[in-house]
Amino acid sequence: MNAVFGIILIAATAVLAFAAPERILPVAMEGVGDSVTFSLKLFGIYAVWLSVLKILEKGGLDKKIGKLLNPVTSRLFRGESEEALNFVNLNLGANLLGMGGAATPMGIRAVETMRHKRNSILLVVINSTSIQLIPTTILSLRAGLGATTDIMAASLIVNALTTACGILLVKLLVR
Amino acid sequence: MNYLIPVLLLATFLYALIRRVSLFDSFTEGTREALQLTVSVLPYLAAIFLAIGLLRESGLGKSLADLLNPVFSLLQIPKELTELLILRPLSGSGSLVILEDIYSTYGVDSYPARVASVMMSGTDTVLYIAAVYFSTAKDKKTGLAIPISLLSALIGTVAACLLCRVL
Repeated sequence: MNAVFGIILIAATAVLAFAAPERILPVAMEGVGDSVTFSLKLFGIYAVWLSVLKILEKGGLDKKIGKLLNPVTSRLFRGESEEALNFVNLNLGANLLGMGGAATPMGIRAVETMRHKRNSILLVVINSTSIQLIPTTILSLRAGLGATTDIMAASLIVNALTTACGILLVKLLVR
Repeated sequence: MNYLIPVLLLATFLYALIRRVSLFDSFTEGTREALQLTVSVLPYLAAIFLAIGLLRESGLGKSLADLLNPVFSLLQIPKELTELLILRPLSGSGSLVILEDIYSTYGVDSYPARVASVMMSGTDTVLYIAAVYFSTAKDKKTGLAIPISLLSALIGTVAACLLCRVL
């Protein structure tokens, strides 16, 4: 991350220093200001969906969803302890319900307790290829802007496709 | 499909009633967590917005896009999405910004907007996920995780372009 950030920062500043030096500070400051406005939108989205997750947690539904996934996860992630699989289930469950922010802590704990490197890689790939049944963030953004077209069908297909590709490649290429 | 989220929310609230879960407590606790999350994410967002702002103002963003455009157009990916494609694996928040940009420039129901939305939903921020998840692992090497995710993301994007023409 630092490499990418550093390269962008240095290259862009170098160019601007010659091309438009008076723009550097305003653009930088504008960027930070925009991030605050954007954060407010994110806060709204997070507040709604983390509250929904909180309701599910308090009702015990998250653990039930986890149990539903066990047959699949125990086969995908061979040779892992029940504890690790529990975290994987919660991670995948939260992802499926479109609560990516809630999935991250579970994913971290899963990798922490996993025995086999190839399973950590598999979990990272599955998360990176996104397995959302309902892409709540995108849908919320679109709803907020009054979208009339629907992307659910395409979204489900592409979600399945990217994840399937990812799993296949990991199983084929990772020792 | 308009009804999906309202139905989901209603189902959750009814579930809370049945299971005797306090809705008010859930929302105040959930919002508190959301606040903590937003505050912890803000510095990263600010740094990324700053970088993207400089990248675009300096014209380098456009140069990079021009470089990659021929490759992407060969794969039938509309050129409006190049910036998004480049940024998606690097930054979730940054890519959400570009997504919003696409919405306001081309309209939320336009073809580029729909392809972008589908592509965003089917992919995620590889670099961030790999870094954060492996941060607690004993062996921090990420191996093939990142290349595999990037390749899958590209395949998904091509599929999104095709699907949004017919669906």
